[in-house]
Amino acid sequence: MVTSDDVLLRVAGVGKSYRARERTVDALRRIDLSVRDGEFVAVVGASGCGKTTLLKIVAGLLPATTGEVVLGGRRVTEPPAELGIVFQEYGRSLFAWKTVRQNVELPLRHRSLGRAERRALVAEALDAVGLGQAADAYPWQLSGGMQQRVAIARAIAYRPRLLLMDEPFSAVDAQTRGDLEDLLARLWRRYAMTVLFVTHDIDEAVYLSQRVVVLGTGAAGLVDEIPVDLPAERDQLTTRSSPRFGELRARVYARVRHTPQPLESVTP
Amino acid sequence: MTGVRGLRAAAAGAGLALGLPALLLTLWWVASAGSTSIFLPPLREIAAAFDDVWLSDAFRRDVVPSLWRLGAGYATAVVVGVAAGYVIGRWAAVRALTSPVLAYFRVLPAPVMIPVLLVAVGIGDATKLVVIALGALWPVLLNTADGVRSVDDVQLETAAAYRLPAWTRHRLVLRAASPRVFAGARQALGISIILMVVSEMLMSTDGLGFRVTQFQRSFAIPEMWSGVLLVGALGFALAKLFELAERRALRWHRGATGRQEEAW
Repeated sequence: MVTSDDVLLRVAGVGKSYRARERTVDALRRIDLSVRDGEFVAVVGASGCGKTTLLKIVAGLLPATTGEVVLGGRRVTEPPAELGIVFQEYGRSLFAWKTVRQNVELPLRHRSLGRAERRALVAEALDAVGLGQAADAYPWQLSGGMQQRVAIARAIAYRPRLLLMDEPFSAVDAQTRGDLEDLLARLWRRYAMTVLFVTHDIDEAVYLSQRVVVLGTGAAGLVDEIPVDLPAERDQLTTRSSPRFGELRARVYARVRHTPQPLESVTP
Repeated sequence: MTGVRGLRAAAAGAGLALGLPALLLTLWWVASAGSTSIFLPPLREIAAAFDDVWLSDAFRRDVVPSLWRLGAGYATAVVVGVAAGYVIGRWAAVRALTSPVLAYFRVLPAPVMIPVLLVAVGIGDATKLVVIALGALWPVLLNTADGVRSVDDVQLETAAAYRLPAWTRHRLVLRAASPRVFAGARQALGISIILMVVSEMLMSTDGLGFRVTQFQRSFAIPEMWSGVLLVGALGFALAKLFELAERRALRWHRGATGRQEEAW
């Protein structure tokens, strides 16, 4: 199904372990994963499954203990140029002394772009997330949902081939969350990005993605990959209440909860 | 509408802030009016002495040198303190290497160096400058190191993921640490003023500290008092000036941490 030609991201045998005293603790166990160019993949798992660790390794922010990450044909050893990232903690990832516009512009300042071109990218990104009016505000003057929009605008202004998102919507209220999910779905189609989306929310993973990757608890590694065969056009009401959504959701849920436990780790 | 109200609030704030000092001065004026003690002269005499002494060429002779030493010593402390604090805060290895030495020097009172410096450097401005810088350095250095060390990981990861150049990242870290840098610099300003006066009292031929001691030795008591008042006023003015600069530079921090603007 996944041919090597259209693979953008290849994660091969990636694991991460920490040495604590004489024991070696696995944070992530041998993950193999391929993501096609333009695909939207969600990574789910209970806390402690290593999904954030995986994302940081893919981002080049954390070295893997084993295996390798290849993005666009090049091995990742440091943050790659074609990468955008959105963290959960928008309040900590935005720079409070910079305005919304300056925050979005910052990563672009070090690219060989003309001033006008840069301005245009920033303005377009802010419009795309619906913050055209708030360009001169400071992040702390905005609500949590709007701050996360700024972080998204910063990522898309950068025009990444791969957008990494680490539980980006888990710190906002339910209503805002739905809005942000739909915004992300629109942006993904509009900019033809590849998205790797980490979340602990199974519904969100099924609603947004084309494929859900389940990481098992206790760093059990990749336990299942579930293709999401829902229609491309999705909607908070109809999609979420469709029978197929329910089936997929149940299947992912079962895989997240009933992961075969590794022998040595017995958790109640 | 907010203009008028804001103005009124500012006036009320200023009234509150100036009310007590005005009251205290009045009390002092009245209570000391009939004083015959030569050590506690009437405030009226002190005010007259203030006019005579400080609004003459004493300004050029004593105030300017004092301010120069203060400014140069303080600036040295801030520049060296921020630079060293940054390096110490950013790299754990440097921190491990320097922390025992820092722990020793930060508790060493700067004035104790005066006799050493007198022998080693002499009585010139350099000695006073070194004393001021040495004493004011520590709060800047330690606060900067702490601030730099506690910069949010998410900010650092964001900067790394977007491949910001090293120079930009250093600037971001310093800016994120700036509330702590300012806290240290504020402490350092107070220490600088103290050390300026002390060093001038012990080893100088001009300056405010020297002049106050001279007046005391020649029993020019109202003049001595006027010098004390001037040093106090100077310290107050510098602290206010600092506060103004800090307020401007850290507006984002008050906003981000949800602290209200104060009227004064």
